[in-house]
Amino acid sequence: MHVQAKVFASLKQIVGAPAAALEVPEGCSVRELLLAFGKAFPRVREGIGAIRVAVNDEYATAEQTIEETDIIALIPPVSGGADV
Amino acid sequence: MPLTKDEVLRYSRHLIMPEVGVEGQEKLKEASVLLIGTGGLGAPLCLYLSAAGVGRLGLVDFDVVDFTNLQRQVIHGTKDVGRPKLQSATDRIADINPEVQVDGYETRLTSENAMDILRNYDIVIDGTDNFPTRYLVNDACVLLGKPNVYGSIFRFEGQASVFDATRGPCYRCLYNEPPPPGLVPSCAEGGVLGILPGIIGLIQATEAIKLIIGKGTPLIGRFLRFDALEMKFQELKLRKDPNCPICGENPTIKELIDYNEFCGIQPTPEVEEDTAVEITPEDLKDRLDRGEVLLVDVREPHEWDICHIEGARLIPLSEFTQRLHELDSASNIVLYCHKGQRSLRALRFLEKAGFRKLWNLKGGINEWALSVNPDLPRY
Repeated sequence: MHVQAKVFASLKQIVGAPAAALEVPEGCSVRELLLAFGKAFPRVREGIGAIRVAVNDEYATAEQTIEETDIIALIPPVSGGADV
Repeated sequence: MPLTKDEVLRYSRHLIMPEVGVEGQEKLKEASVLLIGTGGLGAPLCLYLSAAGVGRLGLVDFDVVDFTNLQRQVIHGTKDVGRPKLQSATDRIADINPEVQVDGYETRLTSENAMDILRNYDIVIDGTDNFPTRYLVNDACVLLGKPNVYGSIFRFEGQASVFDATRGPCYRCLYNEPPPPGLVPSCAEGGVLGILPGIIGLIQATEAIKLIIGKGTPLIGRFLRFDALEMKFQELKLRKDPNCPICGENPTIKELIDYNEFCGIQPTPEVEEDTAVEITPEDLKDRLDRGEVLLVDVREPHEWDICHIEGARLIPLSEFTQRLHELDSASNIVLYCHKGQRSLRALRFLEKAGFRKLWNLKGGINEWALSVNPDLPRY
């Protein structure tokens, strides 16, 4: 199935758009969605463990399954500031 | 602690609202709040919490005011450039409200001092700029049972929440592991709209005041996202993670740890490795004058527009993979960016692609402007 995942903060720059179009299997879990995202955007692959997924305005667990009609958001940690 | 006659006058616009009233204002006077950082988020927090009459404010900061801070750190003025932020903030607070007691801690918050400092305050506000300190503040707050009023910013976006493990999730319930470097660019790379820390800092200040006076619905278990470009607020529901390593059912973290190590930050990041490929601005100038090197700027085009080194070629790091063929591995290549970190990443990338004659400009164009070409603007 086809899902549109909204992306925020640094992910928006990496994706180059406010949302990422992903092709995932029916009944796919949040974890599988992140893996698909990492495949589509190799720059985030090492970091997918740090990205949190919100499904319908609620933070989801890795096991939760998603449906095509769900509103999905990928939210990376944001710190701000330091030159590290 | 009853209010004095002067205080009644000063806080009259609070007192005439029943939600605050004399009782609420007295609670504010008795309250103590610790601000970690007096930078972008800390600036509005200091200004408004002192004006609101919070009795005791603790400030932790060891930094010095810099010209690049003034665009957003509005508690510091142009005349304060070069002064410790702690002094500058303390002076400004004394001017706004001399009734407020300020405790200054001119130190970096560490695993060694955090418990002793945080212990003395009712509420902790996280206005830090780096992940090791965020995890440190979170863990210390959980261990001490204190609310942690969280805020963070990036470019045009901000986030805020209240992490109080006694009543809801903590930061680790949300992000249990720190991000690898590269996923999260720093402010210096990513930039930040000056007003953004103002908005997020004041959301944090609002939450702190609500917690003190015990009114309204706090942002506990709720995560607020703000997007300035879209002018949208989005609220996300957070759940306490039963497997959270610090506030879950079987916590594995029972005392503060080494947060630099946890976040994968080496005490001396890549220094030994660096020096082999480093070139100083002076050496680069000589070699450029002799026409011996190809100079590549790996910053983004909008940074190139601010300033660049004469004779350089722009290949942004974000386009490196696609444009690799434009470079000849037989040439001597010097890479530079703003301060030398992104160009080192570009250098490692080229090394993997088989390039051998590579150098990284030490300190980037910033250092070049300081030691070779003072006419160049710094940013």
